[in-house]
Amino acid sequence: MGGPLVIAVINQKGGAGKTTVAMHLGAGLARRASAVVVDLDPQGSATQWAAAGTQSFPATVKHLRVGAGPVDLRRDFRAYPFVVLDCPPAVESRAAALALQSCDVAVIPVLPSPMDLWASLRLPQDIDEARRLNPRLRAYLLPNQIEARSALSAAMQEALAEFGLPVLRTPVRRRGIYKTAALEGVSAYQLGARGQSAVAEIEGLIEEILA
Amino acid sequence: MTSIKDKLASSVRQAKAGAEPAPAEKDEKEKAETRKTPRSASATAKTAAAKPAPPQSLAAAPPDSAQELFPDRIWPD
Ligand SMILES: Nc1ncnc2c1ncn2[C@@H]1O[C@H](COP(=O)(O)OP(=O)(O)O)[C@@H](O)[C@H]1O
Ligand SMILES: [Mg+2]
Repeated sequence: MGGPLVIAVINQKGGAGKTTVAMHLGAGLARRASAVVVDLDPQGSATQWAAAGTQSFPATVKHLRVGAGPVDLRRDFRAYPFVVLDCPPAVESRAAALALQSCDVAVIPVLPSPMDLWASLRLPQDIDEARRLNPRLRAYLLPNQIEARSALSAAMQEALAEFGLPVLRTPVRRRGIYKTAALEGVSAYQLGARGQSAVAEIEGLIEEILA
Repeated sequence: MTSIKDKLASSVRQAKAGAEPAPAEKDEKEKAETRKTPRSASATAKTAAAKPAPPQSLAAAPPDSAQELFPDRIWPD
């Protein structure tokens, strides 16, 4: 399959970390080749993030309103080797369905919290359905906001096994720097030593996705 | 530690069984077993304590309180 590598960051649960992960994947991938983060969320958080602060965001960020008309994400963004889709918090939305049908990789951030896990449970079914139209789709769960000394964080692995989807080996820790990055309109890559640990985990994540 | 692990995993199993349209035979059995387990006193107490909160309280709250409920959210203007 030619064209860009399209990564959809998706989960119907709001607050799971889709935008945070999408922006950091975009920033990290932009160091390898040109990358675009496509903001499919009508709330426009990714777009606001890129507009915040004075420095420019390292990846291109484009807001796309998916209306009723035909959209071909792969064709529209073929100029970019890497396309990251920041999905709205609704899998039933046309934008999310489109993302699942257009992507090579779906990354599903999940939080170490019971209600977030329960709310994410229909994802495997959505992935199965998307695979009928998009057989190349690879999907991974990504534990986000993991804390070193939290029992719930430690309990994630077993709970995630119930989803029947592979889990990325590199979890994303809960770090204030991710919020700082949004506030300053940049990514952890632009925050020097303060961003170092976050950069290391994002790099680990990107290497796993690209492998 | 172990108990949180078990609780979280079984809560997900339970939620999954409830969400699935046609659960497999094994799941059905598991579900039945889970139901038979007596509820702990604290779980019962929690349910009782949660009940009096009327569901309208959220909808009736003034819009400003959304900010307090979700202090982490970045709100569009
Ligand atoms: N790994 C993390 N560490 C700290 N805060 C995080 C992390 N991931 C997300 N957040 C915060 O959680 C909130 C929701 O994240 P966001 O990326 O907007 O989720 P979504 O796009 O899925 O709604 C935001 O305030 C964000 O800053
Ligand atoms: Mg978002």
